[in-house]
Amino acid sequence: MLFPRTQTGSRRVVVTGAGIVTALGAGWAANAAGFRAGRTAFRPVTLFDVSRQRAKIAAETDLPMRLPPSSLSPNHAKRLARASKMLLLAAHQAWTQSGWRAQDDLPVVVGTTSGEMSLGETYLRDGLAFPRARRHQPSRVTHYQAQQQGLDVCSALGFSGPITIISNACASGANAIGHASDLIRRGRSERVLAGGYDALSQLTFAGFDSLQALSAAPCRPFDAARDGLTLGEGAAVLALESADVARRRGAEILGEIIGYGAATDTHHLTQPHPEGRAALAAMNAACLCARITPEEVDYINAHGTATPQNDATEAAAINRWAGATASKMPVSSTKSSIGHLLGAAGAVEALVCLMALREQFFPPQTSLEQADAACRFQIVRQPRDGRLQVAMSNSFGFGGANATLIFRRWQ
Amino acid sequence: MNGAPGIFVHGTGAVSPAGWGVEKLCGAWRENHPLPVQELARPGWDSKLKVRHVPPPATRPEFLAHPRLRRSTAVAQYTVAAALEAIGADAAEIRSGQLQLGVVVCVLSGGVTYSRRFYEEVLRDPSTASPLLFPETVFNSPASHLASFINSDALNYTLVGDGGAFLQGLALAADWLADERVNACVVVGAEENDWIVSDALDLFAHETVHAAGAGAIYLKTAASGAAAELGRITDAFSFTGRQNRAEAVRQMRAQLPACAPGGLFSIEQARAIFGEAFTASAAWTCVAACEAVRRGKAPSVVSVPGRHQQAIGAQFVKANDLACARRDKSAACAA
Amino acid sequence: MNDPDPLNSQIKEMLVENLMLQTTAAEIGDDQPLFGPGSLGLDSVDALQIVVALEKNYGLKISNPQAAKKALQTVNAIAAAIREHQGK
Repeated sequence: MLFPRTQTGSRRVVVTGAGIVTALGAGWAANAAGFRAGRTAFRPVTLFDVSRQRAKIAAETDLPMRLPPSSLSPNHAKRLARASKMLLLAAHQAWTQSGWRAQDDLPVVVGTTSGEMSLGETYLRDGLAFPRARRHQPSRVTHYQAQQQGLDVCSALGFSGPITIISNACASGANAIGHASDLIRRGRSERVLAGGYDALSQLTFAGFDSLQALSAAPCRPFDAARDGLTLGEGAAVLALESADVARRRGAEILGEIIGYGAATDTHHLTQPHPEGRAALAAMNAACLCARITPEEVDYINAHGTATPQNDATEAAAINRWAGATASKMPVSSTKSSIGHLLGAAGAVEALVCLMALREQFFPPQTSLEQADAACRFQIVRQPRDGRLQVAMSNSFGFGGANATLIFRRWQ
Repeated sequence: MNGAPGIFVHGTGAVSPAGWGVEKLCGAWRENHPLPVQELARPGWDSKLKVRHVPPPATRPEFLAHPRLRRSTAVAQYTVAAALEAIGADAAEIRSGQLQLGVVVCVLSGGVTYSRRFYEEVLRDPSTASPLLFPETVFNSPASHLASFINSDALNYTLVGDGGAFLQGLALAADWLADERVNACVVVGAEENDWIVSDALDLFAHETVHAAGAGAIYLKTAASGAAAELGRITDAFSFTGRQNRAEAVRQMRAQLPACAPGGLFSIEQARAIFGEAFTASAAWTCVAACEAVRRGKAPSVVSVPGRHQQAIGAQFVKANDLACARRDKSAACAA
Repeated sequence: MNDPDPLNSQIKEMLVENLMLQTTAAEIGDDQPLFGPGSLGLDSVDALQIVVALEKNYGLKISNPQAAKKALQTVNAIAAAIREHQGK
């Protein structure tokens, strides 16, 4: 029963499985190595025509030819497009690593902004060009919808459970993982498969380009000369579990989610308030939830889109939030490596924090040339190992969606 | 305090093919006749699609003068109208910051008209596609406009799914209230018309009429002044490889209490009277159920067998039924 | 009031339609500031939309934001930019 809930109290939330697909590759190893070295993965767009767009590059993923074995029928699997495949690949990795057995009430909580937008585009193109040719249209309608991608994860991995799709623009992935951690922390679920995904689409690329928000060159977050973001695509999925259950079954624990905070910026649909009050509120709420102070945070994975407004606002918020510790606070935006993954960004960047904590490194922004004077914190510019116990990830987005997650290394 | 606090319905709102306001909705619900249908053209076809639009409001809603609403989509305007009706007099306390309002907006198609128009422009020439349209196509723009209009900077989620997503939204709001993360929460289900959605629906359910509008329910933990109380929300039973739609609907019904005749409110009734508006149809069903309880009818049961994602149901009871039961139980424990 | 300049009226109609303004074309002053406090209340997204509309309707391409800021101050400024582009 979703209501009334009888459980009370608070439980620790740990990660026992993780899956990831980005332009750096598929899987933890390829991505951790890429983020550790600060590799960048941009190239000219090949998925659709950009000849009439200002920007021409993106961080595209190369998907393996065959999906991992699953309970989806071959016919069903054939109809999947990029976003579904990325989500299934990441979910399969997390599921396999977690060692979970299938059951009937295992919740799936994922964030996305576009679902399978490319199938929606095809549906419209064919609807305009060949209105009577209806044969392929039904499957496009089915597989376009975000909840179908969630259902496919269940059916592919052979379990069942409620599907919750959160679409809070670029904070969707962080809200999804945050909501999942709430369910476990409050004892409403013992296990949740949570993450975020988005594939590049012509509509979204043209949309950001029409707002002149895309840079012509690879994005340089927090750079004084930054002039826009670069889009990317991918997916990240985490197997989240209550610490007691994980320990009882002897699972390997990859890290712990100790804090989640979210707030809304009502200033403007596409621009944050210059002072970044909602970003500050999200960071403070996450620290309150985690019962830690800024001094205890060893690294911040910033939202850092490299647009003039976001980075200025986020810098102001981080400066105010960190206070005296700002000057020593290591910060980086891994969007400098893989671009802005929109609905997947919050989930992928959560996993970057878990990688940094588990393998003890600070992910650098190797393309930064000159930091914006507004940044009173240390931007990580070269690969660097170090001692990290606590990492924080910010995700802010269109519509004023602000979310922050905090992770701790599991000893 | 044993167990979670009660969650109470303090207001409902609706914009539907019957008109603007809950009375119009409930009037049509009680008459229980399919409303008139309009015709909608689609490119390449002489035959028209059958749809039900929201009629233009008698007077122009004053919230449309707010700068944030100038460029907004129909689904955003329906969302704000239904939410404001449900919130009612509390809007002043929310705007002043005294009352922290959580916002949950549930959609299936979202700002689909602007999305379709924007992509048509991209197909013509990406370099002159309208920047004014694109931001409004984002799924959470209705929730963002509502938060900005009513000055709420608290938790704000947009959920995407079939009709059942609205009841998931009610459960989410109940969690936030029980955890005291917000003082009040408005949950909205909203959908707008566009030929591309009606065309898609036509492929799956030829006789179904696509409809537009929004429904809203305003929840708080205080019992006094409440119209109804949230009695129960079943689990959300997804349609998957392990559990098909019929099995999921059966399990949902098994978690619902029996109810007096006339006490069952099903999304199928909403589809018959108003049409298929997905999350808005589920919201209208819950609004009709709450209004019945407010008018003193027996507890009402809501059944939402979704079209392709999940089956989920709920129960609304008179505002003090459960409170007494809870008091007796606690009294019994204290004895 | 001198008789309305046809280009100005066209521009005002373009603004109302492209920006979904709730005022009528006639209510927009020729020298009324379009941006900033006490103006028609347009923002950066409106500015981008006007730039696109000018290109579609008049073939006038305004490439950089600084040029746009200058050309889009008022209806008269837009008219001047169009006339300059059309070589009048």
